[in-house]
Amino acid sequence: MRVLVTGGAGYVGSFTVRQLLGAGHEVVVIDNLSSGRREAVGECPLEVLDILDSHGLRSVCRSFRPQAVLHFAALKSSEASLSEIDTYFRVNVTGTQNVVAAAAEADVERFIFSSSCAVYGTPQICPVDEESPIRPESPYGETKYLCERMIAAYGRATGMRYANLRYFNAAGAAVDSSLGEYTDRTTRQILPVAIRSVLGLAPAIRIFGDDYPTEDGTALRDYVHVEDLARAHVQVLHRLDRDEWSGPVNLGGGQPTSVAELLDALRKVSGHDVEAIPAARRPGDPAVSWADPGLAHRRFGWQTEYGLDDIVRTSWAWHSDVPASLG
Amino acid sequence: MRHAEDTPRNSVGPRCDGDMRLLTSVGRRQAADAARWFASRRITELRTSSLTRARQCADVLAGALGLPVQEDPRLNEIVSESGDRGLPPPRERRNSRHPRGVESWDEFLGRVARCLSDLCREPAAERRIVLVTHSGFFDAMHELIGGGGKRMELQVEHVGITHWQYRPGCPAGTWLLHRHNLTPAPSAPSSSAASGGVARIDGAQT
Repeated sequence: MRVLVTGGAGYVGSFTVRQLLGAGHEVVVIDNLSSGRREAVGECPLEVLDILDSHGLRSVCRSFRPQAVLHFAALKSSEASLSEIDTYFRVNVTGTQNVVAAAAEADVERFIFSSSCAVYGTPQICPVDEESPIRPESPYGETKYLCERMIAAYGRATGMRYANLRYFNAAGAAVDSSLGEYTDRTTRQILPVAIRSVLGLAPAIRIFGDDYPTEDGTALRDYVHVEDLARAHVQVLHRLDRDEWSGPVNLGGGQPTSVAELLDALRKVSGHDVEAIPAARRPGDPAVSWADPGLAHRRFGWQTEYGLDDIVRTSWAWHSDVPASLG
Repeated sequence: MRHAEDTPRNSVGPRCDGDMRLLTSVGRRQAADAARWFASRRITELRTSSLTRARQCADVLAGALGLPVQEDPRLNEIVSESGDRGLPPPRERRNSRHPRGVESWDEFLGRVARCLSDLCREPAAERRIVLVTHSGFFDAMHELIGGGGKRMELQVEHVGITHWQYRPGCPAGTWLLHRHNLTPAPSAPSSSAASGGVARIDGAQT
């Protein structure tokens, strides 16, 4: 299948490109390389292009004639979206409209969108399934939900099948450390931040909230290995034409992990202490958030193969081997 | 289940936080009727709000069901410590601009969500949990499950029973509402405690 991948040089995108190529697909990547890295796509054809360039997108679609589009390109920080709301709506919503319009014009059959559990917002009864109430709290979450609705509207109008994949907390790296996430010093993701601290590149980490009504007082999250996420995209792509189904799909492990448990796992894997200082809760951070991933299993045969130890071990190996990945 | 009838709010003096409110004699009979209704329903856990009117009700149920009572303050009514004077109605307390000790609706929703998330963490067909709580909890739970907002309020009588079944992965719906606001009928001298199914149903008929 000819597959166009936007944001294919980014974190989840690059792992997915690798698995698509491994499954025998013909892939072209579009990425403006603002955060993605050219080396992450290897020999795969790369068009350095911004999704705000609608003419460029249409031109690529006309020449490549993709049968499927996987749309990863987006800005992804809930926190930054508060201060950069214009940019987030322009890039995420207008950019997605450009992509889906180009796809529809090119008669693309399948469209897979990187959405987020941020569409659910808080509070929620966990585990969260796809029919749970939608109440995003951040502009980022709003952009993801607007995109989902827009893609659904295009799908209804054109017959294009689509899946809006709602990621929970993507983490981890390639088992052989050949690929992983590049972060910068502004990242709030707990694992890279903690690893940076362990490696002596940053002071002790702050745990935002140790007084949540959970067993150890820290927030519960659902971490899912990036390789599992990438495989989900391939499985969804292969099965998207079944039963005339389109819609949202949760991609999470379905297992809540507390921040304290995650840091314990890092201590065990790294053999180092992880100095953590309790800090006040951040507004908008849910106490608990984890997925019911049952739909992904029932409809697409997907379930996670990697656990928390794998996530922490591969992240530790990747960031230790490639310190530049920590910014 | 909502707690049984209790003493009116204004009869307990200046404190209006609800913790001084006790079951009335009618309320104690209602609790006993509810206990009989639950007796044949293989209840496995009994949890209650920590407020006295709920705790008293749960104690009656515990005696009939032979179960320990687990107290969980997350089942308490939305907190309105300052006597509600000058406060907006609970569902309009949308932000943190309210006196210390008073919960906003969003804070209350968060508390209810955490309580229910804990219960959903270990789903099992044999788990049948009775929660003795307050009317606000029903609205919060309905809002969390269905996403409905302030447009709908649920009527819940004293000892009104709402039965939700949690069915993760069920294509027909994760949550199945079996009944709402069922109030166990008062026992008649000739009726058997085991009959159990005699009930008055306000709302959805099962």
